[in-house]
Amino acid sequence: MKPRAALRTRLTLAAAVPACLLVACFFAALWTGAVGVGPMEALGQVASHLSGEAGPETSIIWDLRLPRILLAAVVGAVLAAGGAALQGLLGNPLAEPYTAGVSSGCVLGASLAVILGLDSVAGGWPVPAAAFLTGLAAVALVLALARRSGKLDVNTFLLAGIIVGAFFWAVTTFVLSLAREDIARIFMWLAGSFAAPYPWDYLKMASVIGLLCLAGLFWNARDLNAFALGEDQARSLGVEPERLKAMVILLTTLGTAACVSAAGVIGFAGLIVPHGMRRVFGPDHRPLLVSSALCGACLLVLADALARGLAPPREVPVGVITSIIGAPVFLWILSRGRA
Amino acid sequence: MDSVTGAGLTIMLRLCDVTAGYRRDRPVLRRVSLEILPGEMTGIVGPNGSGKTTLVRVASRSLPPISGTVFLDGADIWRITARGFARQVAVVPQDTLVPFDLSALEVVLLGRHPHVGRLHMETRGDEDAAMAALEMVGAGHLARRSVRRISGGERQRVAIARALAQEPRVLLLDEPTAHLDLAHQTEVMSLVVRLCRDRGIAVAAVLHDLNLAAAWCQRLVVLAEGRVEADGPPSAVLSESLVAHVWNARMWVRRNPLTGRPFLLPAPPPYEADRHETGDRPLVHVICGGGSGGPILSALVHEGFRVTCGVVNVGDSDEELCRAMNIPHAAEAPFSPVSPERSEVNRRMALDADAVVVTPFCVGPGNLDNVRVALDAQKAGRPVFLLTDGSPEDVDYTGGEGRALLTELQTRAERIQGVENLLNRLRALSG
Repeated sequence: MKPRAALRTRLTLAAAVPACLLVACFFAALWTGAVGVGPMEALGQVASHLSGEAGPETSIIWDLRLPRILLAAVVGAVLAAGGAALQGLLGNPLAEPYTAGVSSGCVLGASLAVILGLDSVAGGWPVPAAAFLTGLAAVALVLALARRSGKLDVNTFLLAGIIVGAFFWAVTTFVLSLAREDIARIFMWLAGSFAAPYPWDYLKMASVIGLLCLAGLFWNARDLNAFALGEDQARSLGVEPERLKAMVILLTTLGTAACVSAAGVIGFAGLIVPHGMRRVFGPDHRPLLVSSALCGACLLVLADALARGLAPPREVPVGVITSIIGAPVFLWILSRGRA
Repeated sequence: MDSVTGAGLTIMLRLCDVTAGYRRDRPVLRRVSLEILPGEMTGIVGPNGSGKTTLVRVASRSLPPISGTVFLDGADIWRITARGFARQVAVVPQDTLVPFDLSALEVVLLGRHPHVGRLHMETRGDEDAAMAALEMVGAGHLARRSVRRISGGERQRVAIARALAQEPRVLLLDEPTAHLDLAHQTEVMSLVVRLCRDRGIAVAAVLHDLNLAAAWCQRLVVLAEGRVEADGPPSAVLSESLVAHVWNARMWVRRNPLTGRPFLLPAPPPYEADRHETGDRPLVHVICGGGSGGPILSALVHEGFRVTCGVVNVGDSDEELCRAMNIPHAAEAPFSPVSPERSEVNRRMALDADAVVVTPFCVGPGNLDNVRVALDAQKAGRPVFLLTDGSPEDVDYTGGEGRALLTELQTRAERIQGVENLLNRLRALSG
């Protein structure tokens, strides 16, 4: 098949198949939970809220389940697409959205805010806000370390990300050791959870920033293809490498910080989804980003449904589920790659 | 805004007083000014570290100059967008590895990148252009093959096709023949020259191999320590003194008799007559001429013998060799008969020597005295060796006199076939 026809097929498949899958996951998640709500009744509740006929009484489906499913989808999409973009940009298969130290930065901010008792102030908003800011601060520090005479060295960036991440984790651990009684509330940030106190508000925050990030990454998809040939060759093809690096790192950082602020650290999604999608749809970033975003959304919607449905009424942290599923799947992908 | 030279050629890429490098206090290129013209194949040559790759990087908008300006059609290249520049200038880097498992056509299609709008798909026209570029380099059959499973030469051609798919007016190549074998070197160079000639592309190629550069380029730019040392057609630029000065290498520059282009040969190491360690080695006097003495002279020097030579005419390759290698020799004016004075010098050298070698040179009225000198040395008790090369022996052009003298010489001289056997025999003298 000619490259253009092949690309068109791949793009169609990369959008259509995971999109269908996502719809299926959405309904499965809507019907899963500690409180049994029948399929028809669940849909009825959503429909009545959408048409504005619903009363003021709290609805499990509308006020709790629906927003957290949508939040899971947004977070999954941003993490997976961000991982794909960073892997392409850094040319390193181990890159993921947390590579630049966002996650540890966010966790430190959230922990500090909780310990200072800010989670009972102003609707608890200081906590995700602090997480977001410290996440960005961590990346700013990494960028400052990795920039030399106006240029960002990719390997130094990876190393600086690891070092700054480790440092922030150490400070977080120190903070946690001082505050025993708050650990339960901080635990959610460490292992990830979509049980947000204000699900619709968190969803709005994450989806505005997240969709911006996704659109920006897709805007740069073809530049990322050229960038895979190396900086000099990309430049000779008309890509400004420094601009591309700044764009992709900024976009993934903003998106990831928003995700972690809303749902804590959810591991593996940003690592395995892009790897799997690259195996299926090839190295072109256009189908890769589309399929990664959609499959990442599927993965976290399913993982969240499992988190709620495995041992009701208790919830398993969703990050634990993604890691328990993710590690073996990742190994399986790796072993298939060798053969 | 085209700048025009006196010859009426449009300059495409012009480096104006460019200083560039990776550290401000240690520039690699120093105040380089250079023009790359359409339809001209320019070879950039120079020793390691002379700034060849830096020149390509600074001309290709990869490295901003520390001072000075690079112009593309009169516009500062740093005032053009990367995309706009990539539509005019394509670069084939040294390393053409592709990290992903793409087909050759997909790699070439990446060359259309500067022509495709954001969020647009490559059009059918882009695909056709990519295929045409691949066919132009003779790699159409590789279109569907993975670039990971083709040879180095094929990958180089795919890289050039990718650059051509950009439809550039200037093509910069950084060592396009590195890692290629002889056949592929020729293939790539003739391809580039053809593109330059037929499509009027301005081509500048960094080349490590001076012979390749001299054979294919219309113009050579010689870089030394970051400066342009010479710039012009290969025949004007390449001289033994330049090569000795810039590369610090002793080379002979000759002309290819078929093409007239210069080429380089490694010069034999110079003979040092007063070298201590050769003091106890036998002194061998070689009587030769007409190029018959070259192999034994250079072999003797190589083996550490002390050597003298005579009488050879100026312009004769034996004389040229003696001069190049500093071998003491008696020389006569070009095409002139051996004068009594020169013959006397020759005789003294022969009598001073521990052995005399006579090569199978053609004996005519002019150099008959050379044979007489050999006979005199023989009569004085010097061992005389007649080197033969196994070919029919009649070298007499004197109508009998020369043959008679040679026959007389042969009665007591040792005839030895081949330089190697003669060397062994001479080594035995010293042992």
